[in-house]
Amino acid sequence: MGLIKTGNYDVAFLDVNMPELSGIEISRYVKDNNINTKIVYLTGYPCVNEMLAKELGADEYLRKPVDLKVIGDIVDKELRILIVEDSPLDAELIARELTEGGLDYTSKWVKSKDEFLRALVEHAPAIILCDYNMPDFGAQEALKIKKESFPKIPLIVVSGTIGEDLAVNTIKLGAVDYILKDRLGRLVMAVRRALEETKIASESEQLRTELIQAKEVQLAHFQKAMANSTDAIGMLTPDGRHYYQNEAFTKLFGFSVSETEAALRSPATIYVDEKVGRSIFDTIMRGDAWTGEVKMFTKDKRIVDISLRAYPIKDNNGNILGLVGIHTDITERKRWEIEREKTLKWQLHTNMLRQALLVSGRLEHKLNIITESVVRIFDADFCRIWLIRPGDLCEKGCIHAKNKIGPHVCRFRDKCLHLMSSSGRYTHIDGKNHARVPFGCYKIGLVAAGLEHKFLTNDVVNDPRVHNHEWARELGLMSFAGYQLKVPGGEVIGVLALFAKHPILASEDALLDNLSTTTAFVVQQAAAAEEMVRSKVIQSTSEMKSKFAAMVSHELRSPLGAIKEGINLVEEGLVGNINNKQKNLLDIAKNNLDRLERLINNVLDFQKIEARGMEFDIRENDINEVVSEVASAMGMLADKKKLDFTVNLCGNVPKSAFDKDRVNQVVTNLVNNAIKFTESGNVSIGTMVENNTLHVVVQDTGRGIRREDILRLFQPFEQIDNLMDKKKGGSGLGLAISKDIIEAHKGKIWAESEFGKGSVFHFTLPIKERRG
Amino acid sequence: MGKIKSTLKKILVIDDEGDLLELTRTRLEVSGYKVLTLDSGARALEVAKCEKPDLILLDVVMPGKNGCDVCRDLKADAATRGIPVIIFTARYPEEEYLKIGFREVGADDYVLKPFDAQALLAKIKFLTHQNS
Repeated sequence: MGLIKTGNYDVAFLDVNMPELSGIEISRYVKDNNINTKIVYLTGYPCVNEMLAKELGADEYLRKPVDLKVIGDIVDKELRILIVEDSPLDAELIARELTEGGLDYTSKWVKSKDEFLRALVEHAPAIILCDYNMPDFGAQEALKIKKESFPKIPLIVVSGTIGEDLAVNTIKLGAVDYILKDRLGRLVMAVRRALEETKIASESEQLRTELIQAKEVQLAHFQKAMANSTDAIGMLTPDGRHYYQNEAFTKLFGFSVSETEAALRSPATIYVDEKVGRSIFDTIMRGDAWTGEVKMFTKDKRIVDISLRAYPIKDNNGNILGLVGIHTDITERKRWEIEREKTLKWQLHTNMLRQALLVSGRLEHKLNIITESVVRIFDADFCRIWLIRPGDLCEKGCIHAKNKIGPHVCRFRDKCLHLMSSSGRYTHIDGKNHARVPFGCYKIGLVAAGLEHKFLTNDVVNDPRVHNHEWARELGLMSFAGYQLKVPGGEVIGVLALFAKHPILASEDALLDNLSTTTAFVVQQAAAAEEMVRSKVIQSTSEMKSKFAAMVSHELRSPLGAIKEGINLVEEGLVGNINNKQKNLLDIAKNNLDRLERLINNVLDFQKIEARGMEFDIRENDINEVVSEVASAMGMLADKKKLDFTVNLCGNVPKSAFDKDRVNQVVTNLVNNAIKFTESGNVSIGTMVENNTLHVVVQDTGRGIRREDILRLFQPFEQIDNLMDKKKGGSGLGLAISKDIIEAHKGKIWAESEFGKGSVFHFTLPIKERRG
Repeated sequence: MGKIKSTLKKILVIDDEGDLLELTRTRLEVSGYKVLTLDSGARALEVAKCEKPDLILLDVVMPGKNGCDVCRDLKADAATRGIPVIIFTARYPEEEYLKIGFREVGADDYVLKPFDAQALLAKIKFLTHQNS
């Protein structure tokens, strides 16, 4: 307390809590008595803060344990000068010079190395004034020590004359100035300047430190921003060293930093399209940015859609220091876009499809719209619709080969699948081996005949149920789907089938299934509409024909009757005698009149059948008997033309119920035609029994029938103009009447022929027990 | 002559086709009948009443009054009811109707044109004998 009262101290460090007299009481005394001493509290109490300390009378406070350097800062309010001088006189001169120069300072005078070292630490001088040469010490050594430990403290050499070289040397060693003792007048100025420079240097250093710190903060922020970004960011050096990737990058691609670097060496492992990958790198290496969408692989070979922004990192001179890629995962967005596009496309096409199916039009046209829509909506490679239609005759070289029972007749002739519409890769619906497929054969036929209403495979190349794998592989086909076209009754009327280069999904399968039902409905509707139109046409033409036939027959018959009666009267000699020659000529005329009358009667017969239907006398009969009767009746006709006439009867033919006279009429008709149209060779008739059916075959080596005519052979009237051989006579209605008769017996009648080589006519009758 | 006249049966033929009418007349005359002809049904009843034929051969399809109506008229009149009538036609479907329907109009028989001469003569003979 006594020491403080002297007021000789600049600063007093007071422990706050002391026995007898506390630091607080001392500081109060200092303040009360206006003693010019700075009070600094030293305290270990955590409750004491700066504000409290000031209130209690302290200028500053320090928390224990106290950092000595801080104490130094607090004390260092005044200019402390360390004078290193062996001569007390010189030291006194220097001090006086400083005081006279107006410096407010405290000084410490040392004269040896030991004292110098201690003073540096304890006195903490702001500047050192050092004699150049002393008995055991010198400026050179002082400079060395100072440089190592206190490089910031300026040192001015104050010395007698030492020569210019040495002076320059001291400057080189770190002295800020050199003052000659006989020119001390410059000292104060030198000190001031040195202090000023030190201060500036210190300030600028602080400024630089702050700047560096700020930059570090910025950098840290950048790093954090990049690390936390949801975009996947990766950086690499121009020579391909991958040195940074953020967490999102690792998460998205699954590669570690080293794996990314390895993967980047071959772009094909990262970019789905290797070319795009290379062009991205080329663009950046040219110094440009690349932005766009790109498909990339993840580590587990998943494909992700990426919106990529890739930039080169350049220095101020434009040199490329590195590459940065910012990847946004847009897979989901892309998927939705595709999904949406697909939905829109689907809606568009289904609308078109619906409209097209609603308006009336030809069936072929509607089926075309369906196959076309399937190709577009489901991206099918090609789509076809097959309908079951009777295949009257198979084409020559038809793929039915295995199923033939006759020269050209397939046993599936009633269920032959006809290609009605084809879209996509193939658009033709004719041509060999494509136009028809037999029921139960190949995929289409199997689908039609199958128990399952559809057949679906997404692996046509390997599926054992699919034939022709090579073809599928060549075209790159992946999936096949075939659907039965089923009408509400459950009857299969055809098949809708498609091939695609992508798997058919369950949802697509369901839609196709649905579409096949619609198709079946469309076919059924169209068939009904066509049938209606046809029956109307048939009805009207049939009525017209009836009237026409009645009129014609009457008009023909009346004059015919008159001619006939006239000739009869003359020929019978009732109106005068005639000679034999006259009688012969009249006979010829009469015979031909009879023929003409039969012809007219035939027309009338058919007209009657058409109008009323036929009545049958069904009894148990022997077909061989019928054939034999006809053979013996017609044999003479064949003999006349010198034709070889053979009869091949099958032994063991069971009796069956049919109208003997009517069947006789059919056989007679067929044999009569065969003989009529054969000029040389043979005519044969045979019976067979197969599958509970009687089968009669009449074969000839005549001129045959053209293919286009064969289909119309059994239609009434059609062939009167086209087929009837005028020379041979005949109404041409014989086959139409025969067809009516055979079909009334639930049998079938058909013809095969090779034009110029002969014809074969077949008819079958089911073997039936006698009724009742 | 009178004796001859009384033995010859008298037949009235009504047909709109002149040629056929002429041929029929010839056929009947050479077969021993006396033949009267009319080319329409209009005067049939009048002529029949007046001439009292032993049989009438009547075409169905004629312009004006057709054979069926003529036949009904004949059978409705007491004076002509006893005269047998054979109706004939060449026209379908009238002839189909004729086969079952000739009795409905009161005819005694039917024939189809062109005639089978012998069949027609047999029918005429039968009907005139029965009537005589």
